[in-house]
Amino acid sequence: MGLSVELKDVAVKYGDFLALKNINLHVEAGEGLVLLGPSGSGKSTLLRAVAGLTPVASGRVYIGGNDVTYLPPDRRKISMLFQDLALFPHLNVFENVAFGLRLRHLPDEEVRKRVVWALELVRLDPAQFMSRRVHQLSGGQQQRVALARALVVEPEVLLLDEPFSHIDLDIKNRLLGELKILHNKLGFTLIYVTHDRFEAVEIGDKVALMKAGEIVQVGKPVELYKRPKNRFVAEFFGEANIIPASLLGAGRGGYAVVRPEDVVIGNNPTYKFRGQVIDVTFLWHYLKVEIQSNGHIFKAYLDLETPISVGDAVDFGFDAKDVYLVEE
Amino acid sequence: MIRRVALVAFASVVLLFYIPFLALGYYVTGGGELKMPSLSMVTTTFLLAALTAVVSIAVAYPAAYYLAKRGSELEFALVTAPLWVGTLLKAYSLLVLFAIVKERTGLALWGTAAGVLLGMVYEYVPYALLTLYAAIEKLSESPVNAARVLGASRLQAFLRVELPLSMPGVAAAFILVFLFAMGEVIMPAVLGAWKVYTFGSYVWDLYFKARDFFSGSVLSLILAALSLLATYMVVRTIRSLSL
Amino acid sequence: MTPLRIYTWVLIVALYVPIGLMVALSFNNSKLPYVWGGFTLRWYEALFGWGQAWQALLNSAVIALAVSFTATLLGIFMAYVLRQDKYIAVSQVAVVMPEVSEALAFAAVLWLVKTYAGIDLFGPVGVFLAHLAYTLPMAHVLLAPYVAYVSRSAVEAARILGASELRTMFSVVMPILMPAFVATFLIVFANSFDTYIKTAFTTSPGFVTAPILLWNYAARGRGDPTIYALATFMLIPSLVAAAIYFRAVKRYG
Repeated sequence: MGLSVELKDVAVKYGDFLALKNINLHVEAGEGLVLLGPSGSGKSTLLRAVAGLTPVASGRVYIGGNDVTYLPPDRRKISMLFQDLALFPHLNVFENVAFGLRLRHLPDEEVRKRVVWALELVRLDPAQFMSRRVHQLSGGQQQRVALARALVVEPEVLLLDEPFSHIDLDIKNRLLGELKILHNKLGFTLIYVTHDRFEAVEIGDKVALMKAGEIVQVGKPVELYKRPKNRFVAEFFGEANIIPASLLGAGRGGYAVVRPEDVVIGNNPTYKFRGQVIDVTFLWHYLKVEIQSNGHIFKAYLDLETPISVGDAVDFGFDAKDVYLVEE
Repeated sequence: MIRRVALVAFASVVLLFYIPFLALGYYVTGGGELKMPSLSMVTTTFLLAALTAVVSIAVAYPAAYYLAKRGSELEFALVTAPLWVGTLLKAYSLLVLFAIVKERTGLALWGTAAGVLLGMVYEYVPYALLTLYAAIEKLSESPVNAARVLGASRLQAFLRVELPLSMPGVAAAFILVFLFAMGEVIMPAVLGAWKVYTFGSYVWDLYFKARDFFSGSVLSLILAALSLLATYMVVRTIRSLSL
Repeated sequence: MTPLRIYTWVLIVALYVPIGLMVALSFNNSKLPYVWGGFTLRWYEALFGWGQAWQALLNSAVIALAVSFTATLLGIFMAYVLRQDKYIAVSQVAVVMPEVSEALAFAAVLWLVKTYAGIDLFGPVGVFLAHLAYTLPMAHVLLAPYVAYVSRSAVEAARILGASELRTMFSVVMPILMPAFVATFLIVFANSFDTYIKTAFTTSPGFVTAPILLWNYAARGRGDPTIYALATFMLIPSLVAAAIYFRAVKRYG
């Protein structure tokens, strides 16, 4: 039913470059954690350190409470989905999925049973696909084979390295939904690397946001959104108005973070501004409006029916309860 | 383990391929009387190699262009398959062809420079073709489309856009063929009947007839150095091609 | 495109005419190449009865087999481990070196060994080593691009799924490279079988290979239908190799 993953003071070096600095992270058994961050933030390196593909320079890695820091990848009870899928081009679908089972010396009958189970799990008709070569499959089908190959060995921990970054949005959303269902059903621990915050909230019970080899903030998505630790988190994890706190008379330097959906039109809010509308965009569920005021451009998400157009002078603002102050 | 096998293999490349050149060096330092090739021989070799390169490229270019744009796998296979046949076999088959041509038309090719040139072109057209093909295939379609939209005919688009863009490939093919042709022994010997005397034939005779290791070594090293220089130029040209 | 297509086919035909003609004449019931005397197999009968020719073909085949096995097997390890440009460049030099320079250099070494160590390597050993000297780097260069088909992540995926390092080499790396291995083996085989110059510089009078035998006639401009039959036989490895080669590399599309 999944094993916990824990990293204590983990550092990874590539030559002189410190790719990970003192990482401390705890993932509960069966939990879904997303490692989110811009490229070069070290999120893939962190995943590879958990997998045992990249040696750690210092610190400890625990899986299910056991120290696996120096164990090779094949002995960590993990499985992994790679960004380029890493399907074996010389094997057909069946043999790709069966690869891990063959190494466990299972009888043929058992291998067959499990491969069929795994293919059905990822919604590929075994009869139709088993003997196909992998390059004869579409991108989405290849994803499914890779997922089946990773799941068939019944891993305690499933690691995913931006697995859906090269496929169409529609297929990506469908696969994300299915992955989530499989995660709930099979109960493995899941660690998912992505640079896309929309993907992150889709799959993660918890999100760890990384920057320059460090974890900046870990928490539930709503915590990162409503109570970002700093300006970087506020900007990377959702749209935000970030203004100097001094502008609100809220002293001591630092910044005030206000989400666009909390900006309102009219004279009622605690903090009031007056400005000119410079852009209005229809975005299905709301209007995205940009208002220039005091040398800043404020973003506001307004009701679709709001009578507003470019050039209007408007009063707007937000309530004190919707303002979150950050230091840097 | 895997690494160790690879390193042993690499060491044997150095041992088998590079060390022998030191042996040439040994004979060079041993000294002797340098029998220089005659000026006419050097001229013949250069002219023959340059002509071979030019003619091969001219013959190969249209086919390379066609293959890069529309060619089928079969056509490509048929054009490159002659690379598999050894030079000596090709030379011998041409010898037979020349005999027939002479009997039928009275045109004597055996023992003439024209015959040797024909043989070398026959040998090197596939090489030139492969090099040109690689260069033309890499060209993007969009500059041509842009030229067409701007009013160029297909021919104009080719002459003003594609041909200039494929010039690095032409240069690479020239250097490659020229280099191989410079050291050629078999074609001049078989088709030239030892009357068309080249640098390669000379080195050959220095060993087999005169046993003159000193002159042979000096000339071989010069040829090797020239080829390294030429290769360096090809690599640079190809690199600029891909950028 | 149609004129270009016609041109290409004319060129293809032109490339095959001389060889095709020679093959045809090996079945010609006339000693003169320009007289067609009807179909016959008598030149092949003559070839069958010519012991020296058989010995020469056999010698060439044995050398080519030994050379291609050694070169390709070692080459695959080199290509897999020594991937950087600097290593490939070392091998590339060998591929473009003019044959006559290289052959003379090898002969020079064999002479030095003979003179100073008293060991005469001219003959089969010399030929084998001389062929290996240029086919080994050739195999390295030819195999190098295919190593990219073994993606790092495929190797890592195998490790994660439970394969040891050696097991990964045999279950993942080798099978992916198999078609390239076959292709390279064939190129090296055809090359070694056909090579004349390097063989001439390193063999002894007692060890005659097929190209050496052919040269004895070609260099004197002599035509004889039995020699056409010999040459036709020499074509077989090249043509078979080429046909298999195109099938093998297709798998990498």
